[in-house]
Amino acid sequence: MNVLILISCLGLLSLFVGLSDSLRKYSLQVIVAGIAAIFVLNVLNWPLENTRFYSDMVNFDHYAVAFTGLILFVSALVFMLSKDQFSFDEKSTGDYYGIMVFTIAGAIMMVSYSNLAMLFIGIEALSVSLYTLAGSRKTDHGSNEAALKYFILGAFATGFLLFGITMIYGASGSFNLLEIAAYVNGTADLPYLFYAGLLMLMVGLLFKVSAVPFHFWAPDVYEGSPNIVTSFMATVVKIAAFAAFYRMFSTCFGAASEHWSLILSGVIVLTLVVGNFSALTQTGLKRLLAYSGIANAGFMLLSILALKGDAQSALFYYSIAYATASLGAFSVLILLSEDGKILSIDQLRGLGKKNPVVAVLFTIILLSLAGIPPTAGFFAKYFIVSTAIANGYLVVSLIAILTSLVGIYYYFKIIAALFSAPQEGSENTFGEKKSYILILCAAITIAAGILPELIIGLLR
Amino acid sequence: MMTLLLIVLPLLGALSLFVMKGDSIKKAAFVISLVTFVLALVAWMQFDATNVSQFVFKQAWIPSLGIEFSVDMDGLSLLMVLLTTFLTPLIILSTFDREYKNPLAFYALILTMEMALIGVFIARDAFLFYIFWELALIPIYFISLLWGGENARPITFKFFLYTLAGSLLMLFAIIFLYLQTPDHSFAIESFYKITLSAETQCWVFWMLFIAFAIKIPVFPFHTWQPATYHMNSTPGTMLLSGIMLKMGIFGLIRWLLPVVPQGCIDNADYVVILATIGIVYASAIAIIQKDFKKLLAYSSIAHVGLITAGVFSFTDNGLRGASIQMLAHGVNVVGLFFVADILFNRTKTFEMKDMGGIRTKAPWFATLFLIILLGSVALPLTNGFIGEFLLLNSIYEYSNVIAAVCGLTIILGAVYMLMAYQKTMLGETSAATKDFTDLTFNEKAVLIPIAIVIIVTGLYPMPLFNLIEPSVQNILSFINI
Repeated sequence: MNVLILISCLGLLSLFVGLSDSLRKYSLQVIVAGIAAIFVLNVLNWPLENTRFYSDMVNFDHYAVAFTGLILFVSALVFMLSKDQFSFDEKSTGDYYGIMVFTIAGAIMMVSYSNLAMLFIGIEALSVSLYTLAGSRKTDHGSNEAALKYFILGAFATGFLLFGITMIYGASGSFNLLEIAAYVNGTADLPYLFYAGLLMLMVGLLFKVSAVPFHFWAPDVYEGSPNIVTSFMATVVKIAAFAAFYRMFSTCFGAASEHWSLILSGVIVLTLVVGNFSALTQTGLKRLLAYSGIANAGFMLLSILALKGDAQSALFYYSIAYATASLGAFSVLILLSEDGKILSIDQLRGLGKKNPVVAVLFTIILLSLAGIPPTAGFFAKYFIVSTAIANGYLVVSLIAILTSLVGIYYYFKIIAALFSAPQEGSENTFGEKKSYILILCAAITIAAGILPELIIGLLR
Repeated sequence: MMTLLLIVLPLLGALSLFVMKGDSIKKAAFVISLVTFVLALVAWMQFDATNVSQFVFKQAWIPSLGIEFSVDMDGLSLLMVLLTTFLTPLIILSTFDREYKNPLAFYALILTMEMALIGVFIARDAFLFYIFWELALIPIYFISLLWGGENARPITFKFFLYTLAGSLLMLFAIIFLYLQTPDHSFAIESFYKITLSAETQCWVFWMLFIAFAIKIPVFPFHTWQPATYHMNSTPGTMLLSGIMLKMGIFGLIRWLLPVVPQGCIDNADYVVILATIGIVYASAIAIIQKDFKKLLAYSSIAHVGLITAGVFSFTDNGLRGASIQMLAHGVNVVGLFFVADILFNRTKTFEMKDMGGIRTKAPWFATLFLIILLGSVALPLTNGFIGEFLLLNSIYEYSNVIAAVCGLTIILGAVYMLMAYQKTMLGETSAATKDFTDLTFNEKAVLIPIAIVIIVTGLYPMPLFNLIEPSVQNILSFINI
C-alpha cells in the first residue's frame, strides 16, 4: 500500500528535481535510488499481514506484491538504460522522468486492484502518461504519429473498457472483484447484460495487450516512439496489462469460462499466427520486435485461457523471461542505433566480428525469445503451454508450439546476420560499445532458464 | 558420478579453451575429448552387464513440476556414449592438418556438442532428454552456418527448421505424456508405466516418430539431409552423420517403443514400408551420383533405413542388429567422410570422374579406404556384416517380401561403393591426382583406429552383444506381441 504512495511521491520529487538546472543532472540517480528503496520495501511486504487497503480498493496479495516487484525491477533497468535518451529535449528531461514514474504508479494499481474503479484509474494513469511519452520527440514526424494513433485508438479502447465495467456493475451491482465473483458463482442464468459487459471488458483489455485483431496500433506506435519509451511499453506496460487481465478473469469469471474461452482461443490463434507471420517479413529490428511482442502476447494469453492450476505462476515466469529478453534486445537497439533512425537487420551484419561480446550476448537474448533451451524463454513457453494442455486446451497449445517455429525462423535470421560478413560499403561503428544492462539481461535469462524453481515457487 | 563427469568434462573443456591461444586450442580440445573417451572406457570396465540402470545420478531440479536432473546408463546408452566419445577425438584430430577460421569457437562448439550428445544418450528424465536434444542442435547450427561451404545460410536454415519442427512435435507429445503419468513425473519409469487407449497412442506415436524420423532421416523426411551433409565442413558432416543421427534411432528404441507400444505395433507396417522405400530410393540415387560426398550422403540414408526397419520388427535380432549397426555405421561413415575430405583436400574436387589412379600414388590411403569401404558394404568379418545380417534376419521374420527388397541394398551398396573405389583409386592418374601425396601422420592417426575397430568388432563382436543384451530384453519386455 505504502508502495503506491511512495512511488507517487517519487514522481513528484523527480518533477521538482527536474526544475532546477543544477539538480537536473542527478535526477536519474535519484529516481533509480528511489525505485530501489521502494523495491526493498515491497519485498518486505511479502509475509502479508494485512492486504486490503482504502476500503478494499486494492489488495496487496502475493500476486500483487510479486508483480509490483517485477515492475519496479524492470523499470529500474529501463531508467538505467535511459541515460542521454532524452537529450533531444534537455530542459524537459525531468518532466519525462516524472511522467515515467507516474506510469509505474498506474502499473502498480493495475496489478493490485480489487475494485474495477481502481483498475480504471490505473489504466488511465498509465495510458495518459504513455500518450505523452510516445510524442516526446516533438519535432519528429514518427513520434507525433505514434502519439496521435496511440491516443485515438487508446481512448476508444478505454471507452469499451468503461462501458464494460458499467454493464458488469449493472448486472452484478458491484465494482468489487470478490462481490462480482460471488455474483457470477451464485447466479444460474447470467443476464445478457453481463455477457455484453464481459465482452466489452475483453475488447478493452485485449487492446491494451495488443492482441489481434486489436493490434494495429502497436507496430506504428512502437516504431515511432523514442527507443527508451518503446522499451518501457514493451516491458513494464505489457506486464501490467497482462497482470490486470489475468487478475480480473481468474477472480471473477472462472465460473463463466465456457462463455468466453472459445472467443479467447480464437484471439490467441489469430494473435500467434498474425504476429509471427507479420514479423517474418520485417526488415527493421524495431518493427520486428513490435511484431514479436504481439506473438508473445499470444503466448501470454494462454495463461488466461488456462486460468487454473499453475497459470498465474506461468504468467509470472513468462513475464520475467519476456521482459528481460525484450529489454536485452532494446538495449542492443539503443546501443547501436540513433533514435529516430531505422536499424535494419542487414546493418547488424558483421557485428560478430566487430564486437563479439555484444553479438554473443544478443544471441543469448534471441535464443530466449525464440524459446531455445536452456534459456528462460524456453522454460517460459514450456510452462505456459503445459498449463494450457493440463487444462484441456490441446489444439490451441499445439498451434502455439507450431507457430513458435515461425518465430525461430526470424530470430535465427538475425543471429545468422550477426555472424555473417558485413555489407559492402556499410560503415557501422559498432566498435567497443558495451551495455551493462545487456549483460545483466543475458545473465538473468540464463540463470532463470537453468533454475526456474526459484521463481515458479513464489506464486504456487 | 561417472555419468555426471561424462557431461561435465566436455563442457568444462569447452569453457577452458577460452583461456588458450593459437595452436594449443586444438591440442587441448583433442586431449579433453580423449580423456572423455578414456572415462567412457573406464565406465565400460566397471559396467555390470546384467543391470539396466547404472551410474545413476539424481538431483532435484524443478521438483514442483516433477523434473529431475537424473542420468544413468544401460548397455545401449553406454554403447552410444562409447561411439560418441570414440568419434569426437577422431573428428578433432581430423582437423589438425586443416585450417579452420576462428578455432576457439569451432572447437568449443564441437566439445559442447559432445556434451549435449552424451546427455541425450544418458538422460532418464524426459524433460532433460528434450533439453539435451535441443542443446545438441545449437552447436551444429553454428558449425553449419559459419564453417559451411557454399549456400550455407539457406541450407542450414532448412535443416534447422526441419529438425526443430520435429522437436516441437516431440515437446508437445512429452508434455501430454507427462500429464498422463500417474505420479506427474518426467522420469523414464513413469513414462514406461503410462497406459493409453489405442487411438491416443496412435497420434502420440506419430508426433514422436516424426521427430525421430527427421533426425535419422527416414524417407520422406530426408530432404534436408543430402544438401546439409554436402555443404557442411567435414567435422560438421561427421558429427551429423556419425553421431547425431543416432539420436533419432536411439530415441526410437528408448523413448518410443516402450512408451507407446500399441501405437508402434499398429503403425509398424507404415514405418517399415517407408523405410524400405527409403532404402531402395536412396541406393538408386547413390548409384548415379558423380559427386563422392553426395554419394556418401545417400548411402547413409539407405543404411539408416535398414536400421529403422529392423527396429520396427520388434524382435531380439532387430534390436541387437540396430544397436550394433548404429556403432558400425557411425564409425564407417566418419571414416568415409574423412576419406572424402582427404580426396577434396588433395584434388580440390568431389567429382569422381576427375580422379583415378590414386592407389599407386598413395598405398596407405588406398588400403585404409578399402577396409572402411568393405565395412560399409558389410563384407563378412567386418563390423557392417553382423549388424546387417541380424537386421535382415529380423525383417525376414517380419515379412519375407520386404526382406527380399531390403536384401537388394546390400548388393546395390556394394555396387555403388565399389564403383566409387574403382573410379577414384584405380585406373590411370588424372590431372588432379598426379601429385597425390600419401597420408600424413595425423591422417593415419584418424584412419588407422577406425580400420582397427572395423576389423576387431567384425571378428569378435561378443563383448558388444553382452553389453546390449539386457537392455534389448528390457525394451522388448514392454512390447507384448
